Amino acid sequence: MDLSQFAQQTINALSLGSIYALVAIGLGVVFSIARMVNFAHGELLTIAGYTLYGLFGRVPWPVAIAGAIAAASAAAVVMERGVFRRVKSADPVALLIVSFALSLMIQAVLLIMMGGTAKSIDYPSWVQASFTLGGVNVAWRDVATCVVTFAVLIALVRFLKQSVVGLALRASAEDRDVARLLGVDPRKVIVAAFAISGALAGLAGIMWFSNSGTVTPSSGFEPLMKGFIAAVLGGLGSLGGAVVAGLGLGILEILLRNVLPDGMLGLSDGLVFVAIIVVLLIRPEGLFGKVGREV
Amino acid sequence: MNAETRGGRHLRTLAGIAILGAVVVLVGLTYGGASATTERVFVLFAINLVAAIGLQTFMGTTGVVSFGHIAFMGIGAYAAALLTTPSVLKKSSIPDAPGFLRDADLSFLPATVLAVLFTCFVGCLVGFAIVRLSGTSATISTYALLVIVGIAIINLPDVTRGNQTFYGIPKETTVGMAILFAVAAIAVARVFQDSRVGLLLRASREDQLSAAGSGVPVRRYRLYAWVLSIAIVAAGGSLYAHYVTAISPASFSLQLTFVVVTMVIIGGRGTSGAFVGALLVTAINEIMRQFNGQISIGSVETEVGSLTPLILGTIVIAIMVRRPGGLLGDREIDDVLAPLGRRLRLRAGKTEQPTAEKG
Amino acid sequence: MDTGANVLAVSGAVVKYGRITALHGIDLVVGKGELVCLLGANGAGKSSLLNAVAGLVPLAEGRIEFSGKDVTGVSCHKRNHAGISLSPEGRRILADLTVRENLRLAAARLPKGDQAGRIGEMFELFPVLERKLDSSGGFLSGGEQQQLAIARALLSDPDLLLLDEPSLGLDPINTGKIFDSLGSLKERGLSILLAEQNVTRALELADRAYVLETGRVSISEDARNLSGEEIERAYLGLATTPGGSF
Repeated sequence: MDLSQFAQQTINALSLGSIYALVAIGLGVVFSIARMVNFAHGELLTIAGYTLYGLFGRVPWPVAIAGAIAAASAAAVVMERGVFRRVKSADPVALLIVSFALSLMIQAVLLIMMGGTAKSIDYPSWVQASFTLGGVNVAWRDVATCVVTFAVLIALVRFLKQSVVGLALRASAEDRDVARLLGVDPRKVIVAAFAISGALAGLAGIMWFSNSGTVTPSSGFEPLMKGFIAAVLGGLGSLGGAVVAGLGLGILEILLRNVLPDGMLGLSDGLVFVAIIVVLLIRPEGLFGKVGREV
Repeated sequence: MNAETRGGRHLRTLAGIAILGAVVVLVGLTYGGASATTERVFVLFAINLVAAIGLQTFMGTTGVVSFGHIAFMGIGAYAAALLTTPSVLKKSSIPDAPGFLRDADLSFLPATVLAVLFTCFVGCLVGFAIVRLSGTSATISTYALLVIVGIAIINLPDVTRGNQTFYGIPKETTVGMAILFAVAAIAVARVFQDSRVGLLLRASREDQLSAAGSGVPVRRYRLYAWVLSIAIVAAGGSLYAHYVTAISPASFSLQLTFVVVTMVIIGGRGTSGAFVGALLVTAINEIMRQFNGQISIGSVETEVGSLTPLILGTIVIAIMVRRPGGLLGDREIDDVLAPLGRRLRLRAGKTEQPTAEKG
Repeated sequence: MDTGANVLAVSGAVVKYGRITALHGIDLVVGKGELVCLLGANGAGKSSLLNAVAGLVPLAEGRIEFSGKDVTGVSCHKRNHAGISLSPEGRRILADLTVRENLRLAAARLPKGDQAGRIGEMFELFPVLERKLDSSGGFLSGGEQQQLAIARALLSDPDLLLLDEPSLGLDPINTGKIFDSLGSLKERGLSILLAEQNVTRALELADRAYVLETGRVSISEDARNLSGEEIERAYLGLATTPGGSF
């Protein structure tokens, strides 16, 4: 592989890794605050995808994008208020099962409403366009993905450090009782966490579907799995861990795709899942997580 | 707990097995034998039942939700199929397989036993890791197992035909076999559940710290539960393979996992719970299947079948919200019938006064 | 006593954790401007009582009245809004947040214009906090953490301050600082309910004292009237009068 190809693949890897990181962060926010793993998170990406399908071409593309993010965020809040909140059992596995059931149900509804055939999303033309920089072919899509993810991360960190809502979220993640003692309404905090995770998922979905250009009811499964792996490996409560693990996973995937012969592709997935079991056994808080904040 | 005598408890276990077993036999002989369609429904129910009971043997005693048992159902299925499929066929379908597999021509039951042993061996190896985890970590790890086994099956095409269907499995699963396997599963599961190991596990389900503190070797007992549950599920896999005669990795996927986990969650934590859950879910599946064709919901037309996940999902969520222990909770069929039995005995002639015993 | 002057009135409070009963029907009042201390051995129920008043744990039976209003069913954060603040056992500083962030969060419900002023008052009371504004809570010493915990509880301008063992684990100098600050708070008219193991210093400040033993009030007295011997016996579980009166 020559230098330009290497640069190409690096950009691919960073772009893919950014999406995984966003999904991982979304899962992590909900985990930190609501103490649950939301298996229906992938469907939030799918919902964003179908929203784009419906809006692109009918409204200016910034509106479509905003709409997709809003739809995913709203769906997440509905999940929380409609379903998760009602599960009285504090057992996180009960919530996991419920989220799993919800995931399949949403897929079934999407299948009924939109049909099983892949719907083609009409991204604006500049997304698929590319430019050449020093012999390297760079897709605008990848640039946008990396830049936007970077910007969102910075905004998120500032939000968490400086806004009162952000402080309340961090406080609730660390010690729910103390947050209550300080006057923080736990219900509002949980809703905020879901809303944020939904928005992040929506963004991730927009970027994910810009790659394939199509969406099906079960599209959300793959990015969910990848993001989930990154979240567990990096530490579900750790923002930095999610980013590092997400990017790392993206790099690993592109690396293996180029290095391994075709037949062995599934093996890299298998190895990653073995890694998950090992990490859960040895360092349950994740590679970068804080002790005590375990799954 | 009930201050029954040990003899009394053994009687209960027997009663429980007998009642459920009798139901299976009766339903199997009458309904299952009635027509080709009912035979299919009954056999599938029996397979579901074996799978559910296997899963419940682990979930019910340890309290850990496992998304991985279907993987072992798959291993059991493939292992048994490899041994029973006529070598003539295997020479063309898996020409590159190791000789002993290619030439193997075993009959159904011995092959199933070997398959179960093999699956248990594999299961035991990973079980050492799984029993060291709890709660969400354990569940996630079992899901990882499902994925790993699926990938393994796909990546051993010389033996399994990879992604493609493994065909030609002899159809050995009759109604009789199905009844046999189902009753055996019920018996084994119930005996384990009521055994000392089973009781100690269930007692320490909620509070593992104090159990470990009082000397209960929780991890070792969990391993027993894990391996036994895998044995049952693997047997179910073999039963399944020898009914559908063709299997592929897609048969043992997340979809099936959800269905079987649903059965256990809906039904409850005991053997009777798994029975009820399997019955309910199979019934719902079959009813949905009866309505061929389209149905209109508002302006949307769809296959009725696609509503099944919605119905099952709604039930699961409803159960989790209102009765997280499942419809039966920890109760067995004999718990429900015990008070009735007592009243019958009193009426049958014993003139003693009913003492203030647990009713 | 005129109940109208009570900022806190607890009657018949029963707190259960599963099958274990921590409080067996507690009656307790705190008058406006009073400093009442809760004494008792470990496990006697002091923390359970304070947590129940703050709203962290529910009452199985009984009533809690705050400034005349029944708050028994009111959720924890709403009680904070209403004017009850707790500095919990073990301080429970938010280690991930800096001192500045801890204070900002605690002051968040005040009108924007008042926040800086109120935080400034905390700096007067606890100057070390101003010096360590950007340190993470986890890097403060025990004494500093306790001061932060109290400052945090005070920032919402409460009518009732609950303190759970503020001197626990602190050396005499820091303990002194804490009690001095409590003294000045009392002078400003704040009502305080203080659970303490450090009996001597607590009684110096207190108007009245309750002694708890295994979830019940065994002594209820003016602070001046309590003899060291009575207290010792209470701690050893040998109290004389169950539920005395004043």
